[in-house]
Amino acid sequence: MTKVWYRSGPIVVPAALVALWWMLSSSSTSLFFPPLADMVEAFRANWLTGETFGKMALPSLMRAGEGMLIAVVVGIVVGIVIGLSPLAESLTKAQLEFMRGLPPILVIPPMILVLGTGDVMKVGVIAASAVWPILLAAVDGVRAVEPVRDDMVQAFGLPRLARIRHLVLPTAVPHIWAGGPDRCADRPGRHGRRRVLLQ
Amino acid sequence: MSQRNATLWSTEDPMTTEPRRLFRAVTRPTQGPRRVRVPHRRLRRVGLATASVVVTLGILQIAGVTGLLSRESFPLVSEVLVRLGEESTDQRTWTSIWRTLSQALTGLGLGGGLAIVAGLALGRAPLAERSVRPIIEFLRPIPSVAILPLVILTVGVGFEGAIVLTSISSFWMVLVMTLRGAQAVDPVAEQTLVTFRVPRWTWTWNIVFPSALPFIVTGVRIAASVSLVVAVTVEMLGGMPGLGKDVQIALQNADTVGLYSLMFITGLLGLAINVSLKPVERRLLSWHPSQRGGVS
Repeated sequence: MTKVWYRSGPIVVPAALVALWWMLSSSSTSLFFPPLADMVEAFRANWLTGETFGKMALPSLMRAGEGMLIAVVVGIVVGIVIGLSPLAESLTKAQLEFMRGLPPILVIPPMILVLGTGDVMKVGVIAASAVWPILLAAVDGVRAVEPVRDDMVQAFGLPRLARIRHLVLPTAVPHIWAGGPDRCADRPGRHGRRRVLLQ
Repeated sequence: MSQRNATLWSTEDPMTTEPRRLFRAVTRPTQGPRRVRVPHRRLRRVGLATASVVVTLGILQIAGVTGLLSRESFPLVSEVLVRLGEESTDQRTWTSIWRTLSQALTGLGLGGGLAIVAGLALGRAPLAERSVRPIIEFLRPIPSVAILPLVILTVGVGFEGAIVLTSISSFWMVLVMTLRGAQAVDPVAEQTLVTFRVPRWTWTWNIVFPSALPFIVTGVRIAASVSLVVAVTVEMLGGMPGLGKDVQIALQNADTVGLYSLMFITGLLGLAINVSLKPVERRLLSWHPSQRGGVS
């Protein structure tokens, strides 16, 4: 019985809630909470017919992708360069943390002043808000290189680029991907508990 | 030996101080050496950072004076600093800062608090968690800004409106982390307590909560900075009073100096929230690895 609920729960419960919403809102006259049926109809008219999707959603996604690409490349390269030198890190940390703490929306006014109101500005704002977490995670990732391995790399006399390729990048990538150290990676996950439950 | 004698002797007699120091070193191995070394290093780091910030500002100033950065888009650093000085004596600036900060932190407290309770409860009930998961995953990615129009219409453009939005954004972030945390309990420790019939509340408090704490703290830290971002954003777009509204006003008056000084204040605020949460995090979790080692 538990197993049946376990499989069907994720489908049944949300479906029941949507059905409840549908029934409760069907006779709603409130301006702010219209009947769900009307919303579905509006959704269909707006998004599934006509070309609104291609005209509005696609350019947004494109810009987000371009901004993200710039942020990833700049963030990783600059982050690794800064992370490789402890001096550079302590010199730039304050400025970087300041930029990360700045709400992205405040980057828009100066960007408008510099780049105008076109697509370049929008991509610039996206890149400028996405780059800081990536950059700081890259710095942290480089700093997390194990000293023993680092010593070994130096003892074997690996060239600088090989050191980055084989030692720094593999350590830094998980940090960059998660946007911070995953403190909890080695802990027993929920799968263990699930298995216990289902036995 | 009486209590008073012990304290007297301990400062003078090496025979009594030495074992005591040893005892301290054994029970708190990280505290001894750390206390000696950290101030010096930290002082050096703060000195370097300060010098570097001054140099950065100097370079920007020179770039502005020589015309490398156009004056229309980038006012001189000195002008911005003078404006900051004026604003620091102005009551209105402090009111704005207080409003933004209280909107961000009240939302964090409300949303985060609810999320911790809900997350711990849901995380302990796998069937319920699995059933609600699709709903959470559907609602979570909706940006607060997207709900802004609805909130303006229903709650209004006041303190409450901003708090609703900051609460919502904090809630999802802390909830997801708490859920993960509540599920990361060591099964052996948990089953041991179940076997010994330890009362439910006791083991929730002693095993589940500590196991979830690292996740919760991480969630709260991320939610705190996001909460500030959301507060400023809704103030700017929705017109709730606060720093964001001041930015909007500066923008409409084409007051670039004011704009940059407000950006500076907001950035410092974000920095302050981040920096002030770090010691809290370290303190809450300092016991954590040793505890893990003992249990498993």
